Amino acid sequence: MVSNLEARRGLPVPTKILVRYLPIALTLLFSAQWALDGGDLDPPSGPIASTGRFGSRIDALSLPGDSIAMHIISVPGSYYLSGNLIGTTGKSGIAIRSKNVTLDLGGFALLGVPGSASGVQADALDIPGIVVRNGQVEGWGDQGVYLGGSPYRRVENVLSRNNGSYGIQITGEQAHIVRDCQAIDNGTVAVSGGIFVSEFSLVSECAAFSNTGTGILLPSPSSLANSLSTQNSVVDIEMLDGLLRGCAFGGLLTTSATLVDNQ
Amino acid sequence: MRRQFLFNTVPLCVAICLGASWLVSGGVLDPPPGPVTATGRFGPRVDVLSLSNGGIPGVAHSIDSPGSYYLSGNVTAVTGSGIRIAASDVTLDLNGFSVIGGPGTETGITSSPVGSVLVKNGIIEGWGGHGLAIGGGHSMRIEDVLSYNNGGWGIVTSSTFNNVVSGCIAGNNGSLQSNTGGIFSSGGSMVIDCVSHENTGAGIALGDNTSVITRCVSRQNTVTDYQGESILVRGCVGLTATLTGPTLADNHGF
Repeated sequence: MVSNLEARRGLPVPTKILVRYLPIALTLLFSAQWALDGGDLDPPSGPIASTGRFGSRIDALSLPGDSIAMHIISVPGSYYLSGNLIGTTGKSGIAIRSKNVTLDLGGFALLGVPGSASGVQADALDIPGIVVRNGQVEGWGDQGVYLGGSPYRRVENVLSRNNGSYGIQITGEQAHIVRDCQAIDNGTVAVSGGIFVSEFSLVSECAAFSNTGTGILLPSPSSLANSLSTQNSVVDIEMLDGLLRGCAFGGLLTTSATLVDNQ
Repeated sequence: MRRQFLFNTVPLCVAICLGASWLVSGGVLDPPPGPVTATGRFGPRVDVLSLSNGGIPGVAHSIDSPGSYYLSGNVTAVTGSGIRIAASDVTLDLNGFSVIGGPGTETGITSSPVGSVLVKNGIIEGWGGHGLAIGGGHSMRIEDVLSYNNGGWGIVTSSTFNNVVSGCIAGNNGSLQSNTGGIFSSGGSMVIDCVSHENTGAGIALGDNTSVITRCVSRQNTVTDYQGESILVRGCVGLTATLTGPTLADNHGF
C-alpha cells in the first residue's frame, strides 16, 4: 500500500525514503541533544565557599567557643554570619573579645533559648571600636546585644526582640552610636527595657515598643533624635540630661533635657 | 491516507520543535572549572592590599587610579602611613576592617591633592599623625568611620568645598599634635550624626563660612567641643563652643 501511494506521487524511491526517514532521524538527533544539553541542576559537591566578593571576612559561625559563648571573636577584623545561630542554655551566642571588630549579621538571626545568656556580648575592658549591624537578635535569656566596658561602639540596623533583659545595652563607657534599630518586647525575664546607652552618645532613627521597663534609657548627656518609643511598661524615654529632638513617645522622665519638636 | 499523512508529518513537526528548543536552550549549567571569582556585578573593585606603595616611600599601599577599592583585611603598619589616595574619583570601602598604626607611624589614610573621594565603613586607630586626612580638591565624603587614639586629628577633610562627614566617631585623638582634635573639615562642609569625645583639642571644628554641624554629640574635649566661624550648629549636644558669628538652633549644653 505504501508503494502504491509513493508511486502515485511519482517520486523516485530514494527520495521517498529520504522524505520518510529524515524527520525520524532528526527527531532522534535533537532528542538526544536536548536530553544532554540541560546540564546538572545539582550544585557542586562540598560546602558553600566564599566568593571572595568581600575579601577575607570570616564567618563567625566557623569560630570555636567555650563554656561562656558558642563562638568567640578574638582578633581584630571583619566578620559575618553565614546563617542563623540557634542558642543554647547557659551561653551567649557570639562573644567579642578583641578591639576593632565589625560583625555583620548579614540579615541572619541570632535565636536564643530560655536560660541562654546574650546574643552578642562584648563586655571586656579595653576593647574599643566594635560595630554590630544588620540582623535580628531574638529570645535570649539576657540582653540581645550587650556591649559594655569600652568606648566607641556602633550598633545599626538591628532588630532586637523578646529578650530577657535589654534589647540593646551599651554601657560602662562613653561615646557610642545606635541608629536604625528596633527593640520590641524585651525585658521578659527582668524589668529592664529596650535600648540602654551610656553617656555622650547618639541614638537616632530607633523604635522601642512594648518593652517591660524603659523604652529608651539615656541616663547622661546624649542625643536622641527622630525616634519612636511607645507602650513600654515603666516609661517610654528616660533621659535625665541631653537633647531630645524630633521624637514621638507616650511618657518621658527627665530633669534637664532640652526638648525640641517632639510629640 | 490520513494514517500515511500523520506518519510522514508528525516526525517532521517533532523534529522542528526539538530543533527550535535546542537553538534557544540555556546551555550548560555546570560552573566553569577553577576557583570561584568575583562576578563583576559591582565592577572590578580592587583590593587595596594588592596594591604596592606606588614608589612612594613610607606608604604601605597607594591608590593611583580612579575607581572603587576595598579592604580584604586589616592594614597594620609600624612606620609611615597606611593608605595613600593619589587619584580623584575614588571610593574606598574599608569593608569593616581596620587601619591600625602604632608609635612612630604617620597617617592612617592620607592623600595627595585630590577630589571626589569617599571613604567608608571601617576603623582607624593608633596612628602617630592623623587617623584620616584627605583633601586638596573638592567633594570629600567620610561615612561610618571610627577613628580613635591617633596623635593628630581623628578625621580631616581639607577640600576647598563640599565635604560631608557622617555617622563617624572620633575619640581620644590629638594627643601628639597641637591644635588638632576629633573632626576637622574645611569651609563648605557638613558634619552630621557624629560623636566626638575626649579629644585633646577641639571636638568638631569647621573652616569658616557656610558650613553646618547637625545632630552631633561632642563632649569632654580639652579645648572646645565646637569651633568655627559663621557656621550653623543645629540639634547638637556639647558643653563648650568657640564660635564666631554662628547660627545656633536647638542645641543642648552650650
